[in-house]
Amino acid sequence: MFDNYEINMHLYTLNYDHYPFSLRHIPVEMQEGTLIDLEITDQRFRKAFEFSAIGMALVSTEGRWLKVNKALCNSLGFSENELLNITFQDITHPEDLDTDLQFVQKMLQNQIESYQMEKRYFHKNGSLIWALLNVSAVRDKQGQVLYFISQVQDITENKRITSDLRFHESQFGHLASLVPGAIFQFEYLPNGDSRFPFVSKGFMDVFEVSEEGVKMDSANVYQRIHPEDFEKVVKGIENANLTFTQWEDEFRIILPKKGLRWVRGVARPEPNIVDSILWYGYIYDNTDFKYSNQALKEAEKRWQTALNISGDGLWDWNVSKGEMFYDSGWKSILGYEDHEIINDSAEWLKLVHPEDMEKANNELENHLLGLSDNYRNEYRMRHKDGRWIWILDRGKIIERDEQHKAVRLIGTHTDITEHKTKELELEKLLGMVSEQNNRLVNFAHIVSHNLRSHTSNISLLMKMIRDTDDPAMQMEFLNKLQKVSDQLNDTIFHLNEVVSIQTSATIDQQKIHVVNSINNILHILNAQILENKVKIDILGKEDALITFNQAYFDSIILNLITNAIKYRDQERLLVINISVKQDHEYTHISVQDNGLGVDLQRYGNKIFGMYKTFHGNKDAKGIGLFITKSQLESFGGSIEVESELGKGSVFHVKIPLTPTYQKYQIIEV
Amino acid sequence: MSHVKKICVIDDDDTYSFLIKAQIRKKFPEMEWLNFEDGNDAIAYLTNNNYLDELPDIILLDINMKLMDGWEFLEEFIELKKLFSKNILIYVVSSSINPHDVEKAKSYSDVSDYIVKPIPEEQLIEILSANV
Repeated sequence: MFDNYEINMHLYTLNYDHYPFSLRHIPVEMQEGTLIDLEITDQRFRKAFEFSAIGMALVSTEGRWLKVNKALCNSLGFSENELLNITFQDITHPEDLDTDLQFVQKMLQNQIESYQMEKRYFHKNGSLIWALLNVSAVRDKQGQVLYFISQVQDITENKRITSDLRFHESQFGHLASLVPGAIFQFEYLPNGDSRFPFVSKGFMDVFEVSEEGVKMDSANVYQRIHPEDFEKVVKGIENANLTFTQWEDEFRIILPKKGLRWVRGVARPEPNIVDSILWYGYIYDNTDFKYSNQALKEAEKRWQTALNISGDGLWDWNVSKGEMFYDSGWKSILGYEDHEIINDSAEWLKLVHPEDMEKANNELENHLLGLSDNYRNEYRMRHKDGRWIWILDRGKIIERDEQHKAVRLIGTHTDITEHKTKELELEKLLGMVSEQNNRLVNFAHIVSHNLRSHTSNISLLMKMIRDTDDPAMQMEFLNKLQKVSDQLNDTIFHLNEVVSIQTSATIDQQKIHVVNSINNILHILNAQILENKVKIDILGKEDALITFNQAYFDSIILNLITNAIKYRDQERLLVINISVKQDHEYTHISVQDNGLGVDLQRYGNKIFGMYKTFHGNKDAKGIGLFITKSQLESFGGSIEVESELGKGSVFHVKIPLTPTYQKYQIIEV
Repeated sequence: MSHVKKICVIDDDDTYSFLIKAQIRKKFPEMEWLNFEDGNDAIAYLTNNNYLDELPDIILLDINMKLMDGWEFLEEFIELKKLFSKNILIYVVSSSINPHDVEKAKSYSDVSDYIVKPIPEEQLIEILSANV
């Protein structure tokens, strides 16, 4: 619509005859500078003039506004009347006035048909209005200018946007030059060529190229890429081109000055209006980070390898955040795959042996409280397969807060099961050896004492025999000597018996039917039992079998029953109850009597000692229970006594179902 | 102050008791003689016979006895002697050369010495000749 109108204007200007205004209505005063009422005769033009979105005016040769439309009034902020009372010179920016007036002069001198310029007007409120001014002249037949037709297009907004854009552009350029990498625009053409239409200053530093060089062709940049990385980089770019996904890459370049460098780039390809693809991105020299990162990776690799070789596991505990990390080694010690244990301190506690929990916690507490420089602990943990394994746990606080409270601890786990098992075995062996040693020392003292008491008597008797002349006395001494000799024999026999129990490295074991064996013994003792009217009952498991030495077992039962008979209470008939029981570990045989009983408060542990008797009985030797105990212990069994003076005694014998013959009990006398 | 008039031997070895008695008779025919085979019997006597003349001046005490051994006798004796009007010397006489027994005997202030059997004759005479 507007275009058409403009064309029309030119036509009118050229063909005076068809000029739309009726010149007859232009008053003579107009030429003298007085306001005249211009009539626009052409209906179409008048409408177009009045309602045009662009400001329009008829202006006298002196610059007076003759007719203005609504749009012009709106642009300049003046009402129609106000404008008709001033000239365009009045509201033209001084810097633009000369140019404008020169054009007007040329028009009046017929040098030009029309002119166009950008100029500034003052708005009524004082602000500047930018306008694109188009002026043509209406002339009479002699070619004299009658008045001007001005088109005033308000371009203030355009101007503002353009100037903003320029500002932004310069700002952006400034910023881009400050960024320590390079910002670029990369264009990938359909024929496979590519170029960098825009690069920031940094780009030239990163690649050591010239701006002109890359603007037309990216070859200079491609040439810098390290041969080993070249294929990878090109593929990455092509792939991003196909998928329009973000491109991200890290690769080596070789520069003329700086040599080998690492760069890292991020960019996004976008389809362009033409057939090319436009990339906007960022690329920077990553060498320093890469190297420091590589050093870090090297260090990490080093200790990771050390951990792997040692088989140790690592834990990292952030106390303040309550975060726990276990590495795969930590988990594999316990038989778990990486994903089977989550990084939670509860997982740890769950697997610690309940008996070791308190000690483990105490050690940790001590370290947290600062009582120990390093945390060190040994405890058992449950392996995935159910067994307990021994863990050596070592750690240290590596970070504390302002209040000196522990923030973070790091430590290792070492599987010391094998070591610990050996240690415990050794401890057990040591215990056995030292117990054995004690027994040996005791035994040596007993032997020494018993033999010495006889030899001292013998030597004294010999002296007495020599010192006396009295044959009767000599005879008496000789009789005494015979008695001492017999006692010495007895003593040696007993000691031999004890030694044989303790030294037999291998001793026969056989399946023994408990009740049958007891009945055999009772049969041997039949005479004593009948004589003393002893009532004997056997209760419990009749078919119980034990693995034991027959001679030992007979000796034990014989000893217990004869003891019961020997120390019976004369005031009442003796009743002996024998019970036989078996559980999953032991065979229990108890022999209960209603005899004299023993004051255990007084004699306690001496009852099974050598040469101890408790009843003042003349034929008590004090060797029986000592031997019984030794025989049981040599098969891993035990004997205990309950007794009350005047009520009776119960002897509890315990024999393991799977006897372990105590090889370590060897005594050398 | 006077010589030892009455000796008490507590020992379950009757051969030893016979021999020491024979030795003493030879040198000190006037010596009064008390002999017990067990600590129990000795304590029973001392409890019931604690007049000045009834009490021994000296006790030769064995350690290894079956019913009440020498150590148990000493514990009971310490309680009992509070009732006595005279000081009784005690010598532990044993076949044991166990240093543990020697140390233990010396820990009792009532024990004058520890003698290993057999008692040398000179030492026996010296002990019995001493003033009490």
